[in-house]
Amino acid sequence: MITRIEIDGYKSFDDFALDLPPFTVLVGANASGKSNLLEAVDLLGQLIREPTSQTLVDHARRGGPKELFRRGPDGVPVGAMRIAAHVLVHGYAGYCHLRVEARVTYADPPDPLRVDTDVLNVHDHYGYDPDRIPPPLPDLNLGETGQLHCTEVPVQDAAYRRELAETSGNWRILEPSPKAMRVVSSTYDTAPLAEDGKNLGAVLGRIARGPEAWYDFRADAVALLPDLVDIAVAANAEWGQWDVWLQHRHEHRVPPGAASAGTLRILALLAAAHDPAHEGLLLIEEPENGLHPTRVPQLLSRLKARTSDPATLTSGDGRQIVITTHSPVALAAALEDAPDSVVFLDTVTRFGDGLPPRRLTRAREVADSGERGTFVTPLEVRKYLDPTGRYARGA
Amino acid sequence: MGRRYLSLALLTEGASDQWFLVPLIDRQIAELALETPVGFDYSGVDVGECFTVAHRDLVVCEVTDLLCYYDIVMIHHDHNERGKVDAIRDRFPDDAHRIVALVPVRETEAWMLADPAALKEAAPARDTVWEVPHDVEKAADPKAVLRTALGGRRDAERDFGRLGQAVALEALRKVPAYRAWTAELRRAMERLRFL
Repeated sequence: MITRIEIDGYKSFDDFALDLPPFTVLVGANASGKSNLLEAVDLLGQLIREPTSQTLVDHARRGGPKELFRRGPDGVPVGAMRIAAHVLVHGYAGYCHLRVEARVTYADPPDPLRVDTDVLNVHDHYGYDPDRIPPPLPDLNLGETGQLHCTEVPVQDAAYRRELAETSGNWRILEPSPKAMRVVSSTYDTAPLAEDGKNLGAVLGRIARGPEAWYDFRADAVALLPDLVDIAVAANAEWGQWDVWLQHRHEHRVPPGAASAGTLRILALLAAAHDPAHEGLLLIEEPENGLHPTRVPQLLSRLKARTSDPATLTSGDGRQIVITTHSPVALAAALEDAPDSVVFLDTVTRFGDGLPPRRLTRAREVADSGERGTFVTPLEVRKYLDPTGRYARGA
Repeated sequence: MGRRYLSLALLTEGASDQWFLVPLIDRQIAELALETPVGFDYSGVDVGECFTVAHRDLVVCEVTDLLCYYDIVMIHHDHNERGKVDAIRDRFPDDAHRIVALVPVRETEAWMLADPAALKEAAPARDTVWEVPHDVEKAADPKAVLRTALGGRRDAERDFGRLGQAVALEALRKVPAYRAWTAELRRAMERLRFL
């Protein structure tokens, strides 16, 4: 579970920091930095496991490694970019709150980029510098569960590197594609749900092996898809693939290949959130895509219910979900159900410091009052929630 | 002290005025910001929830709200309604310095006529320079002049956004009403110590 993310020198991020609760809704206009934030987390995970220049080549999305570096007003890439996260990692001594930082130093082509990663416990990171104010720690229930926390029991950083690498392997972007989800899945597939959802059948098969987990999954699915009365999953030994059948009320059962795009997207997102073998951080791009607006609030509520409370975690990574959205319906639902989860991202133009103007991503929370310009005002929220209403018509 | 944000709100007479004025205001702020000694972050002008042609009490109510959330509130009117801005400002004696009047002579379209190059981009097949008076504030009907200058290919309002991006600030500075607005905006920013 990531409790905080810091990004500097990466794309539009400059000295950016955001504390992450178990469930976060990132709201913002196009090109406000939402996807860049998810991709930074994904890249950090890759760099933790493989801190090389080639990792940047293999996992830089939307452009090559050079495009990852924020460019100065003169067009020159910054000297180094830095992505850091505070991560709750479970290991031999209980949970440890680690700070991991990947620093990539720019080099002009054709020299390779230099990648350094540092792992430190959060307590030590802040202890070294008296000017740093530590962010609030997750409320871990140390006494009753017997968990240990490295703020109290120092854990050698190296001792948790393996666990950190495993944990970071479960930070995954999800952007399910109906086309990909219509293909059959191998029974030998043990991977978490792929970014495009192509192994949906395998994840459903995995969930179906546990009666309680399967019931919980179907209960969530039918709450969102009321006409879906049953889902059947069976291992086809002859073909080594999962046979999946969706039974809608008063209709013949159909395989995923014949199901609607919206149905498949709901099943995929819920399957990822119910997968018993893969907890971790799900980074979901625009879950409202392809969904009827009336289903969006319920989807968010069901996803949020799958996230873990760090105070009651006893083992494993726990589940954490970050979604991006443009949807007024998703914003309304989040403000109603979990107002603390809502973070607006937008870009500001920075003037001054003797430099030409430059565009940067910032994060703001919704509030009724505060220092002007630092919070999302009720006016902004109203306009977002009602783009064709009073605001658009005037009065 | 942490970095400051400049927050700006705009109330216009109509929706189409916003299409031109929002990009123009952001460009003008960027130009003024070149002089800033302290630096600030700016996320763009936000438009309010009512038009300035609404009932006075409604506009006053809206301005009250906006003054809570924004450093500067700009109120747009055509020049024959100039008195309305002053009347609203009179209702906020403590915050009058944070209310800026944006009042083009005759209509907003007059400012769209200021730069022949921008008009040429919108109507590349026409030679528009001869159709637009050199002193745009002398155009009796700026809407009609603009429509003609754009060649009537389509509804002129569709070009407002692009004109707001393209019209040269240097050309606009020759327009007295534009200079009056930027002078007032500059004073407000200086008073708030952004400049």
